Amino acid sequence: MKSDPEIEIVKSVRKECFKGWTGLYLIVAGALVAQIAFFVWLTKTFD
Amino acid sequence: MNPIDIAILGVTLVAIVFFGVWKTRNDRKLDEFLKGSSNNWGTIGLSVMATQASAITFLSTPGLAYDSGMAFVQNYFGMPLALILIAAVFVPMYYKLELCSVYEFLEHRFDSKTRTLGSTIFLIQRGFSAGITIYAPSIILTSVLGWDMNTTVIGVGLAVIIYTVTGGSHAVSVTHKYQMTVILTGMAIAFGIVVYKIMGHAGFRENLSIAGALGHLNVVDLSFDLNKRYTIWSGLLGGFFLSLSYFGTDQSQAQRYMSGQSVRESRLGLMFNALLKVPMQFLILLLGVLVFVFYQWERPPATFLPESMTEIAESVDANTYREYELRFENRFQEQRNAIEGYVGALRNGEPGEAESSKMELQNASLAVKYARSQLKGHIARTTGQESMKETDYVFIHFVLNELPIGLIGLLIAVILSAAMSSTASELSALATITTVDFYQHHFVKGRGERHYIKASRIFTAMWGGLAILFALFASMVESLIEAVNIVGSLFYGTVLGLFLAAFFISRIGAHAAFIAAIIAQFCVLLLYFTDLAQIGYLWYNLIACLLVIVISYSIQLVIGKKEV
Repeated sequence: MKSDPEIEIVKSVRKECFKGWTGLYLIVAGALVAQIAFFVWLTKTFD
Repeated sequence: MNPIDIAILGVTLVAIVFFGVWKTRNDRKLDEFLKGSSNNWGTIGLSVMATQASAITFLSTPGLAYDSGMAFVQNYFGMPLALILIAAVFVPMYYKLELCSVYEFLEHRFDSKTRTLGSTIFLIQRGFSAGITIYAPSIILTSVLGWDMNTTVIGVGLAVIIYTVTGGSHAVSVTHKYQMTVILTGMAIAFGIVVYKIMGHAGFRENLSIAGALGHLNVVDLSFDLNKRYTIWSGLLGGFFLSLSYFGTDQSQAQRYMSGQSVRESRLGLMFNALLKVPMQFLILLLGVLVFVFYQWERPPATFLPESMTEIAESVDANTYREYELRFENRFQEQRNAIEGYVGALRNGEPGEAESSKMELQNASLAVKYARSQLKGHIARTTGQESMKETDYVFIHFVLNELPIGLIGLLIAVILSAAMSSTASELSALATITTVDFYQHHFVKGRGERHYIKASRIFTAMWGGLAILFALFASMVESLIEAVNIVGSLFYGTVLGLFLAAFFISRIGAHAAFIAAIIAQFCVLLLYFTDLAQIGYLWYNLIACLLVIVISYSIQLVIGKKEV
């Protein structure tokens, strides 16, 4: 295996990757769901 | 082209190049040149967007919607989710390790040979596509505008080389902001004009109903049919993996978001794209649909391909041509009457009447399609250009024939700006990888910053020269664009597999990852070059990625934790 410090950096980043940003990521994911819902409505209404 | 259009086009492009050179004239640091590490989230967001949006995006996408509707937008559904993962995991990792090249990460996590494997794969596929990014719009613009092909290719290529060589990655980010401003302004104006033109015939909702009746507002397909090219599921799954490869492991994109002042700016720049990319693609496709509706009210040409082809077909066999043209003219008039009947029925508000008018319109549309296909087929056979794709020429035809003087120049500037913006990112990334991963890493170590900046400038010019040469000789290879896409798909999955194994499976070591990458690559090439399985080349991304992860994990289990 690669030296432990390298693995530790990867692990530490993985642990903290969502810290303080979960709200924004949820907004982005929610926006995608809203966009898809709008597209489904558009397809059903005009197709 | 009118002199006013030429002036607007020339001033726009020269101003962008000049601004890029001027703004970065005092840059002396290697980090600034290779990464451009002082950008805020707005610049990063526009730069990421400009890198992905090539000229073909603005030429072909409206044409695609004109031909088959809006379903293509589903391809982008997986992208916001991939960008969230990249912003959360990839970005902080790249910052923490202070990377210039994303493939350095593979050395940090695995070893030097795995890094070189990733860099080599990148140079092969991006080297190919840099030429295509210049060639593809040039061939379309020269055929409709009558420009000289070689002059156009060399002109666009040299303009990009000038500011990329002088200002490096920083100049690329700076110019991207203004290129995107030109692109978004031009497309918004084109959208406004087509809306204004169709509103002269009927209300906006009625025009959308016409598009819907003729099968062009089919945005989402919820079926699980694997044979269909665009469904919500292939878009979410395939689009996710494709975006993860492209944004996470391709230096031309990673270099854009690694140019931020901090992790925060880079993340916000990516979230800007995650929020806006799908709506932007939707609006570009909707523009194509509205152009389609416009050509239901106004008679479209026999073909959107260059006019010279119609002239040849007319001169070779005038009688057959006239016969087909008259038939098309009559069918079109019948369809026009059916459209007016349908709009009248919509206004009356009688559901039964609207439904029968809709069916009449659909039948009339089929008759028009058949008559036009006969006319188009005759032109293609007479001129020997049966493989030319009409969809690439629809939007440029609309621009040249329906937009007022001045705006034509602006829209041509949009297309050339898009070509320049994506080429600049590619050249800058190719030069960075050549300098950092090969020149500095393997050949000339321990020299000062000025030496490596000079080397990077030479490599930028070299890759730019190669891209121009490739674009000049591109027409000698058949189906070149598809060939480049296939080359990309054959290698992307392996690199993504390496990155995902590195990020998420701590147990996997260097030798296991490297061997797995070689085996996965061999399997994908075997699948492609033999008839073992008939699958679309886009699936190779997913197959190679999964093979790398599964094989490397299995090898690691066999050789045990102590071995590397």
